[in-house]
Amino acid sequence: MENMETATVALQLEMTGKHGPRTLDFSDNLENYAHFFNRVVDYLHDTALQSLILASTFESRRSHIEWIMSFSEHVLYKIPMVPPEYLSPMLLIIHEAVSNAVYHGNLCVPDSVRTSKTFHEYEQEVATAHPELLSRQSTMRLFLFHDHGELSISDSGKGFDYQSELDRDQPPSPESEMGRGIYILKQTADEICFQDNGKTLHVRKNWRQT
Amino acid sequence: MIEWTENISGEQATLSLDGKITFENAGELRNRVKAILSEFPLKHLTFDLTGVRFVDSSGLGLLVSIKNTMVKRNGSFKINNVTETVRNIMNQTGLDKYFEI
Repeated sequence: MENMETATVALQLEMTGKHGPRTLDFSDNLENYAHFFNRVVDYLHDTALQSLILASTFESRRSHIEWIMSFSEHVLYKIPMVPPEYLSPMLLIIHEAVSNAVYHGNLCVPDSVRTSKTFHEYEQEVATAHPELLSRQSTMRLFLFHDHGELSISDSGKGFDYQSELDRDQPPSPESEMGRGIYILKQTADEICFQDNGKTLHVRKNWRQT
Repeated sequence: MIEWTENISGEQATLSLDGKITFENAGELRNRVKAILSEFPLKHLTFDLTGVRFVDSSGLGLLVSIKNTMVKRNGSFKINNVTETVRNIMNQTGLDKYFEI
């Protein structure tokens, strides 16, 4: 089963130089993320870097989630385009978007399980009862520019009633043990929209006046 | 990635955490707190968040559930030394007053 897992990562880097703009493309399997990062790291802190697109397709497995979160964070903290005060907000957006797509969208984790089991325990349960859920994919695209960042993520679930979440103008009550994800996304982002019955999320964060 | 050290004495315990509390690891931390609470007659639990540089909504949910559990035991749960990033997300979600940070 191991070799049937699919997790890919691709980077498109737009660089300027004395010969004009050029685009560099890299791609690999996400499981090689550490090696992949070492291949691209010198470009990431190059001042000629103008924009970056990180695209990844991954399954709803703990290992895949850890790879993409780790890789995204490394990229985010290396590149020169994101001002320091926007690093945590962007990381928060990525966390909330990925956990929403994987937990709610693909794995349909019931609330009772989220407050009683670890991801690892739930994954083991699902692997026995509904292994097909773990193969459900998410596709993420992270765009980073000098003045803003954008994230889009699509999951393979059945969607959800996102409008009532977006309409919420107060945070959940302090005693509530869940339900803050979309509220945090809305508060952190400058623009947020769902499409395709909630299966696709777009978020934009501005960091400099355009 | 989250690591912590535990200092348990009588009815009091302090966990000093280091790393990020996120959807990837909140469950492990929850299990450990549950185990401590069933093993020791604790009334007062404190989390020292000096080393915690990031919390997401799952991490917040965990902190709330621990506070709820301690209140049910007629005990208390305190959070000390929050970093600026953690304070910001608590302010955003109205939890700063709840945790009295």
